[in-house]
Amino acid sequence: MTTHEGSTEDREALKVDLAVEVLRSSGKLQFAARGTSMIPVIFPGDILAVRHQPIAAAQPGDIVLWSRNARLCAHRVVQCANFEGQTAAVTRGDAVRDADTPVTADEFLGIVYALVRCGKQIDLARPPSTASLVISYLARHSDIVTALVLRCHSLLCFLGSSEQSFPQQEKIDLLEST
Amino acid sequence: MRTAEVQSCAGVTVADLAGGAVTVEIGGIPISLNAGDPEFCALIDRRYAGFINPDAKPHLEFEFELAPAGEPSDEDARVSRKGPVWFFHRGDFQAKWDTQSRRGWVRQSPNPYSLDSVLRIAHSLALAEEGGFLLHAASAMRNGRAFLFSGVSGAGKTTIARLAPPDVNLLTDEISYVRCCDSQYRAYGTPFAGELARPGENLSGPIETLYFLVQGPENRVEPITTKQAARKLLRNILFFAHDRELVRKVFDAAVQFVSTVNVAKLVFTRDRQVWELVQ
Repeated sequence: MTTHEGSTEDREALKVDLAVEVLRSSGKLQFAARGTSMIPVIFPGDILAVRHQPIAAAQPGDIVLWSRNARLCAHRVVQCANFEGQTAAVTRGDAVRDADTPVTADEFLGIVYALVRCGKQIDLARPPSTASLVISYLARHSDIVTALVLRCHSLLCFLGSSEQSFPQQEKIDLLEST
Repeated sequence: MRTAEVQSCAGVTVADLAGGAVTVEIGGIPISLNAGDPEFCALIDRRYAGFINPDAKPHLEFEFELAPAGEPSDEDARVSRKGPVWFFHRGDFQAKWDTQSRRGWVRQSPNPYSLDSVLRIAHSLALAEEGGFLLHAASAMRNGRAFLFSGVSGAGKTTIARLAPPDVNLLTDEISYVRCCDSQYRAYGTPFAGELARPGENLSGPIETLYFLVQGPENRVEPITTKQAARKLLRNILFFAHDRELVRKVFDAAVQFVSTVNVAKLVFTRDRQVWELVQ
């Protein structure tokens, strides 16, 4: 019999476990982002498409996915380094002041290659715009700015939702094929 | 002759059939099937005998347009949503269902297999919205509790159903109906039969254990991890829709289910003693 692990934390851990398994076995994973550490590049609810890659493929500026303590995190690589004798990636959320503990090869899962927001495809290949850099700088230093940005985003998504022309899945597939 | 056949329909009067509507209630979700054609109504009545409830207020109403007789299709059904309207499509049927008006339309040939498919899709969508699902599994009630036996074709769903002792009420040998009611999972009988070619009993009960079937040289129950259980469960859930939000709900439901209900592997050989392990 299974032992019952009924808590919310346990269920979330199981979902992360399954997601990691899907990514490692199929090479790709799509999931909905949560949290505000990457605004304005990634908002809660954005669909991220990740390709399974080794840590050696990560470059500064890439948004990468890693797993630690039964949670997934997609942050930007700020530096590729050697950590305790192993290749590691130093990552940080765009809207967070401090860098994360370096990500090891075991924790590293892949690189975010596409993002769909409110039915629209966002190009991640381009470097962040000046406006984006300014917003993330301000969000790093003020929770009020973060809350304002989130509110504006919700409003824009609501106004733009009627313009969605075809399903998000197809948009990500389209990006993948080009 | 046709009238006599119609009058023999259990629970349905000639007046009901004059309107051409039969309400089929599976899993506590009544669906009105308005076919217009008395012969097709009689077919519905025979196929879903035991699940017809003329007094139930329909959760949704399907209007049927009968096409010339054709063969059931082997292709996968395509199910998609545009706004509040679901579209189901396969070689042998087309259907749409407006979730706001709770009305739908089906065009199919008058064969029961296409109708089964339309109903399964409609139920899978309704269940997904509320945290339930249809599962490739036999299920049965014993001592007031439900037991599910899941596996792909050939795993032994029909075999375990055939081996059931007399004190067991069979809910289905093919498609199990799982709902989450007040934080408790319940299994319901369905008329969807597999090789046994016998509809399940219209009963329901709280789910005690989900077993994943493996045929082997002896009967034994083996533990499995929650992750293995979730993986196997996801593989056996019937779900047809290409819809991100509903897929998320089904995924959440599967994780919730394996975190709440006992799940184990049941290795069994083809003898009745396997049921001694199912208590």
